[in-house]
Amino acid sequence: MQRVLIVDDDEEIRSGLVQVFARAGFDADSARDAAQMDQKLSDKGADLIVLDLMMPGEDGLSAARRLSARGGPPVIMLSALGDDADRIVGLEVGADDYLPKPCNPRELVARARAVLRRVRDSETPRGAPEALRFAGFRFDLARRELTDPDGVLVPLSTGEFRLLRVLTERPQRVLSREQLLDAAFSEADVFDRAVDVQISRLRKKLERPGTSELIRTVRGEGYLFTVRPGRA
Amino acid sequence: MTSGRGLPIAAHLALLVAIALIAAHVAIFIVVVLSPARPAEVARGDVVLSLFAEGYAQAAKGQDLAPPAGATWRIRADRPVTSPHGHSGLRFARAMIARSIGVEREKVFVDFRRPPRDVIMRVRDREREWGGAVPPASDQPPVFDSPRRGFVLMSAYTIAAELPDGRWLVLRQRRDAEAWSWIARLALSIGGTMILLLLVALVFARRLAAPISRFASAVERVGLDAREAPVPEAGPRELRSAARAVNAMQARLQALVAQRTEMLATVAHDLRTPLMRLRLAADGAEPALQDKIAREAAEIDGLVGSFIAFARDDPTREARVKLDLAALVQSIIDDRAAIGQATTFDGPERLVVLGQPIGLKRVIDNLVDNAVKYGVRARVSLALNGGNAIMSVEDDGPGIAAAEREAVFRPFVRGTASALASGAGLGLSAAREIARAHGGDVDIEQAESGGARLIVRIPAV
Repeated sequence: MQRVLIVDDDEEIRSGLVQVFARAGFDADSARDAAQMDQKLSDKGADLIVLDLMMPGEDGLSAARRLSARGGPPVIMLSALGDDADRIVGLEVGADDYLPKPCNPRELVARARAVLRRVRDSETPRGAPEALRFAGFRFDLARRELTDPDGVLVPLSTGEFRLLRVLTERPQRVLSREQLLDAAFSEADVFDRAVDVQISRLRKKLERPGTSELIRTVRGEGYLFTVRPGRA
Repeated sequence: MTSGRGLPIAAHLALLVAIALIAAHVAIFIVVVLSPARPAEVARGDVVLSLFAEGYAQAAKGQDLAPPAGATWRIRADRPVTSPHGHSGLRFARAMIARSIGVEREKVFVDFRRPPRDVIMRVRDREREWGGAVPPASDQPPVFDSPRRGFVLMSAYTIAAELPDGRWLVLRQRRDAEAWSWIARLALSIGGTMILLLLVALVFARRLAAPISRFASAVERVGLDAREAPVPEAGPRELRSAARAVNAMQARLQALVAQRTEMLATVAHDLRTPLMRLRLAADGAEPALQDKIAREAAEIDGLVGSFIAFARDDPTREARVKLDLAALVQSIIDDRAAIGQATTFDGPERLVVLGQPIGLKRVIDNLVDNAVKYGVRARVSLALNGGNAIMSVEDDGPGIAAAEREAVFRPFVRGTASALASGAGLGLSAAREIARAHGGDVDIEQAESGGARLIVRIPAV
């Protein structure tokens, strides 16, 4: 059973989330602040941490930075500050995902599953999300930004971002549609668009005249990211 | 920079005047005293006479003449035609020259000026002082001499006599040096002083102006963003106190901004924590109730979000980058279509603008939100027109009456048609503010469908 540690200073939210995760089949535990979180981590460990941003004592950002610096378990940041700038800050300090409060409890569980799956399957070691470089592109995982070889920012939709993240995490391997769906989209997402449509959008954004294709279709099997990205 | 001493501007100006005055006097002193005017060329009558007599004798024999000091020999075909100065000395001199070279007076031409009285006095003084030793070029008694005084003094002389062959021998004093010297000296003293003063004034002006323009640009930066580095406290005293005042103001602004940020975070936390509790509490409830609670919570959450976004909006703060606006709109529409909103996009594959990624995303989000909320669907299109990226967002709602089109851009104002709908009325005002910070704008038109058409203009790269 996978162990989730919920860190929040609000008693009701803590117990509510523990129940939600327990019902979803997790071994859920909670901590009221960063100090208690550290203690529970050293006692029993955790596979995933759901971390509130604003807490008395050490705040969530600082705790997430500390966890990712020492290669701790993946973190989903939960925050009352929900706009894009705050999300970027959260992801930049090493959170694996970021959800604004209030959120759908079931979506939180789904995101937790997606993060756990992604971490399990990823070839890249855990740590602060970095920027990747391939074929002149720069792919900033924290800011969720793709910059093309001309230095132009090419915004990605959520689906495109997730697909590209999965593809670059597992480069030069054929990934089936099911694998991509599984890794890129949680069941709470109503992304009913076929993976193929998103892939073709993504491909168009990565297309540059005179260069070989970055996403190759393997007939009957799935897709393959053709180059191995380097760290930027 | 030495202006860091912080003198008041008045002191700078007084210093400039003093330095200018001193500089002007130094320049004039150098010109007048250290290189005084050369006295007019003055020659002694007897010396000139013997010089001419000697030269005439040689020229008559066809010999070459050595050029004498301060004068020139010339031989010309006819009598010189300069008009004589006409004073009493001329006739006498003419007679003396005629006698000493042995020609008729008609064949002699003499012209000279009498030197100014002060020059005469000076020469005579010098002679007296030096016991007449200067310049006795001749042993003979001075021929032009008046019985009472030493010598006749000549200036600017021309002496000519007809040679036996009919040509004329001319001895003429060079006077160009004299003629030019005072103009040159005047030009030198005026020009030199002026250049010197200009340099001094330039240095001063720079010393005064440089800190002022630095101050101006520093104030401008601080005005745009209170987190900028403080204004340097340098330059004249007045400027330093102005800089101190600006810095104090900036510190207060920074404190205000920090306070506001903290307050917003607290408000967000305090309002959203109960919403989160509500959603968790509803998790076990029956589905219909759960949906209802989720919708209401989302509504309140949206309001909280728009207030916070409006309060912390600072369109100048986010950095601008080159960004593919077409991809941005497409990605937003895709995300919305994915959660079931009726949105479509029609536009080019790529349209690069210089813009703020989060700011522009908020513009598009706000307009699409409105269209979906009040107008059922959002038809978004993008095109490049005359150097501008033109994005239009059309909906199928009732549209916005022409009279209301400006009012809805004001904060907290909603169109009458949407009065029953929810929302804080901040989306359009924020969108326009951001678009204008990009050098563009947001306007409202009537769509063919009867709905509203929001036009966003952003300058393209």
